[in-house]
Amino acid sequence: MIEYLIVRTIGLRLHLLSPDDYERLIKGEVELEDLPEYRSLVTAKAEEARLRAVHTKFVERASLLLKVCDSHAPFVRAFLDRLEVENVRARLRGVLSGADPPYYYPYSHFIDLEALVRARSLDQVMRLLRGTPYEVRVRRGAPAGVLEMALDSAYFAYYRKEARRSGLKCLVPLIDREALARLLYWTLRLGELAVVGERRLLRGFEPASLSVRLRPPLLDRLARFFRLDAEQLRRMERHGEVSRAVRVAEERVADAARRSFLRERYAPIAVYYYLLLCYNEMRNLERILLGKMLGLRPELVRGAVLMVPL
Amino acid sequence: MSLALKYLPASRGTLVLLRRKLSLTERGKEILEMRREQLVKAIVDLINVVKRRPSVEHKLVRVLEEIARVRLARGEVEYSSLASLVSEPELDVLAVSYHGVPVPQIRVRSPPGAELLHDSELRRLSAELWEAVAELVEVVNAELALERLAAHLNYINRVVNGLERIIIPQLRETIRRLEERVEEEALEEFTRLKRVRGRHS
Repeated sequence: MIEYLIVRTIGLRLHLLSPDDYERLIKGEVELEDLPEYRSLVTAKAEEARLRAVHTKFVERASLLLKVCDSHAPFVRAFLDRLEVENVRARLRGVLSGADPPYYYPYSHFIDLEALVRARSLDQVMRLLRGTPYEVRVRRGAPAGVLEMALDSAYFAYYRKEARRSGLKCLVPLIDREALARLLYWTLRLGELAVVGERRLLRGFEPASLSVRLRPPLLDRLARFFRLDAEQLRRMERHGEVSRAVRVAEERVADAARRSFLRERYAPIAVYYYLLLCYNEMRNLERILLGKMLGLRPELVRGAVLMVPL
Repeated sequence: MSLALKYLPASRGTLVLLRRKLSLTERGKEILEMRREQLVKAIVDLINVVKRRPSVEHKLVRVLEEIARVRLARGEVEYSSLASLVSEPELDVLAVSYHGVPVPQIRVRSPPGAELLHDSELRRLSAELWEAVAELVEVVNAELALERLAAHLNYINRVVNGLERIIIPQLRETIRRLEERVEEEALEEFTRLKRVRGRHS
């Protein structure tokens, strides 16, 4: 059955947007609704409707794979669940600030999205997380950042487990890379000492198939792994330039996935690579739409788009 | 010359009154000139603040661009939820007396609170953005004050010019005319008295 899934994803890959399509969108030669894949999803000319269409398309694409192959569905579902984790994170921040974040991904799996949006306190959110793979156990009064990191840790543990359960153990090294890229974000955001101090939370990020030990000097280890300059990373940490470093790590994750895919085109990696490309397309379109909404120069938007060859 | 001055009775009492009025007007003009100088100095100081606008705007645009870059990198859900952790600043518009001129001024009641925001990058950018906005508020306050002070200076200039070119010359002219009349009348009176004395002797 995996063969069928692989063949389908190879075919579906041809429907994804090419760098030329991105370029035309950035230049304003075409609008999102002009693209055949998105035409039916864009219900209004407003940017928010377009943004929703982009997110819905990603959910639809992954949902199609869920229907195609039951035995590998847990992995695809776990990949998709990253949107739910983002929603939970957004709600947590909303609860902390008392303000409602204006936007959530149109997706839910373990937690009903409406119930999540209605949650008004930290306890209510935690109650919703209970019994789901994202259930987190942090010490009372832990900072919001630690809580969010715990959420990511729980997600990656679940994601890895689901890949194994789907018989896709070969994808674990790539999931490990994703987890390490996320850990890099947390290390830069919370500081190396704070992250290393949360030993229990590091478990979800601990690579199962790569030889990276999550011990001090963690930033140096992560820099070495992602082929980044450790000193530059420290500078970024000091100056609070998280996005730039995370962007490079994301590029490295995509590169590694592409290299693996090119080595074995007709292997389960094709499924992962397809999902990663879909996710990347969603993020890229989001960046282009936001860039247009904010009236940014095309070169600035172009710089933000992650061009991964199909 | 105004009608009131034209038909004034030629008497020593009127002359005393007019001389007092002239002295008062000249003193008033001097005071207004001093006030004008004071306002010009204040305006020059304000111009120095207003001159900072291009650099402040440049700084603001740079920070906004940087924020937009981060927003693109993080995605809308992540960014909007992180942004919701920053409380909005509270501003007031008050009428403040600036060198005696009422000027509307923006006052910061409370700056934005980013205590809940633990993302170092956005925290830094939020601080930089507020710094630029606070500087812009300062420039806007200076611009508002400059506008009102300039209008007031214009008014004072008109009054001083009016005093200098119309009122004071008119008063001087009237005093000169009345002095001549009073002198003529005194001479006439003296001659009449002499003639009356000659007839009687």
